Amino acid sequence: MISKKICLLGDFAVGKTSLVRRFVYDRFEDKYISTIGVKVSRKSLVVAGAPASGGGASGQGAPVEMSLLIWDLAGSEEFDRVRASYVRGAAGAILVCDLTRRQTFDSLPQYLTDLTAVVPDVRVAVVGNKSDLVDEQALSPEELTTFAAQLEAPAYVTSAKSGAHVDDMFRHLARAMLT
Amino acid sequence: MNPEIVQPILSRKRIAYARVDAALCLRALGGDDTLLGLAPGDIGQPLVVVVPELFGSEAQLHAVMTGELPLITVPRVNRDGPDGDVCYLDLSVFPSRDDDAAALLVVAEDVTELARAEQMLTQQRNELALLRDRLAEQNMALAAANAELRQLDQLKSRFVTIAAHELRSPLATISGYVDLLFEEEICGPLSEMQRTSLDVINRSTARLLHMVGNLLDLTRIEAGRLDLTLQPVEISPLVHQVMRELKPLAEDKRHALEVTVADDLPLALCDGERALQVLHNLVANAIKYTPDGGHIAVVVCCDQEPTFIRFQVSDTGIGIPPEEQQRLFEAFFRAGNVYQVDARGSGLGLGIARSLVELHGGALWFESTPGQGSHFYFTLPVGEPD
Repeated sequence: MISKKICLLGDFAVGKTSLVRRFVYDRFEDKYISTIGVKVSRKSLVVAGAPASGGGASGQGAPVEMSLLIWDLAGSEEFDRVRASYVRGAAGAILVCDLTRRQTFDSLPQYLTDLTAVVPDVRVAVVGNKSDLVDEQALSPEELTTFAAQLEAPAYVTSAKSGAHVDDMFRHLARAMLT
Repeated sequence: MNPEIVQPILSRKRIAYARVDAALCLRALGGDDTLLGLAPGDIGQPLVVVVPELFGSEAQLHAVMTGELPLITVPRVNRDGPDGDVCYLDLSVFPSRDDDAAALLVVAEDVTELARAEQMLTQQRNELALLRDRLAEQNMALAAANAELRQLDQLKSRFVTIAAHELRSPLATISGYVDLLFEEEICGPLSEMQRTSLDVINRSTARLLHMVGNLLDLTRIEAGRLDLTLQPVEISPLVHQVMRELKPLAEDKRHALEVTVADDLPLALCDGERALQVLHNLVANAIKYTPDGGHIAVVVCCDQEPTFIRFQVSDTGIGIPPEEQQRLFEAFFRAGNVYQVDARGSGLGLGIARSLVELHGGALWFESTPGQGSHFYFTLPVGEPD
């Protein structure tokens, strides 16, 4: 089994803990509880591996069993200082913003800078969470996609509450970490 | 450090530790083994498998072992406690020796009590920040709505100004020709019926001109464009002019008019026309809103504040209901009991009067009891002594 470390980064209250809880336990809690420090969760999954050489661009490789160690990191500013020590050894990172709070999207470049300073080759996914709050959207999916495209990363609009696209996003990143 | 000092300090802490060999596998456990959730069966397992918070730190672990790094730490590790609540650990990895070979010592300290306090603080700070952001958004929306309202208000003011100007010229022409017909009889002698009809036209035109004047004043006051010509003014002639003008109206309603102007009254520093307008408005209101056969009193004297002259207009009228007194100076507001005296009005005069007084640096206020009458007061500054 291949083990990989994934870190979730983003401002406080964007839904990082909720995304992990949805993916790992398929649960959601409406009450906001601030995370301090780090919570590591483990999730095993089987993904299609990278295509064997000569298998064609659209081909899929043999299924790969993976163990994801998902690091849910505090979004609060007081942990900025120690965040670098948390992300070391990460193979993947999820940059999360809240679609209803534009300033959380504006913070993402700084998280990316801090991340790549420690782990330059990390695979990234960009996530706009809280798509269920339809009437409060302050950010368009196009803006998210444009930003992700600059990083050559996938963009996902998710809802930890409904579960929309959460599993897809983690699986996409898991596959990307295999290549 | 002296063990006699270290021992009491350590005895107060919940600590677990693990010895790790050069291959980064567990060799021994100690301390409170419930903290890291490790059991003797884990001996021999890779450290990063049984302590997942150290996964990814293999290079740093080797660096500690070789002395390149003094230690590594992972602060505030969240673990599920036995009671289902989160407990918090600070993880540290130090260099150590194992049978004279390089090794590591992993120490986990329970910092739950402190971390829970930190968590509560963080929670409150974050919730406050979320509220602040929401408030900022609402403020922005309100500011945008305000800007739109201001724009609409300016548009309304422009419209009122233009409309009032356009109305005033033809009204003045009508008024002039009615005067010629009425006073000069330029088209020959008038029959009683014609006189009555012209009188109706004349009164209606005067009322319209008065309303147009009020609208223009209101828009000028709102725009801060109403200018006063301040000069020393003798008050007594001004008061008597108002009383002369309004005497016919008072007589129509069989009111008793009483005027008292103090003998030693100094000159007022005011715009005579505007002072006259204010007093005229108050006395006209007193006449209008007092049932037939009432008593109207005008008193002018020095104010308790020696730099002001005080005017008082009292009536025995219908009064103003207490619940409506706050709104009395609002534009277009009329009290709910005006039907008792069938008085016409636009609800503009009082607000304009108060603004005019305040532009002079004075004040306008009232006391009123429904069914008994009202007392309106205003002050104007005393002119500079010669």
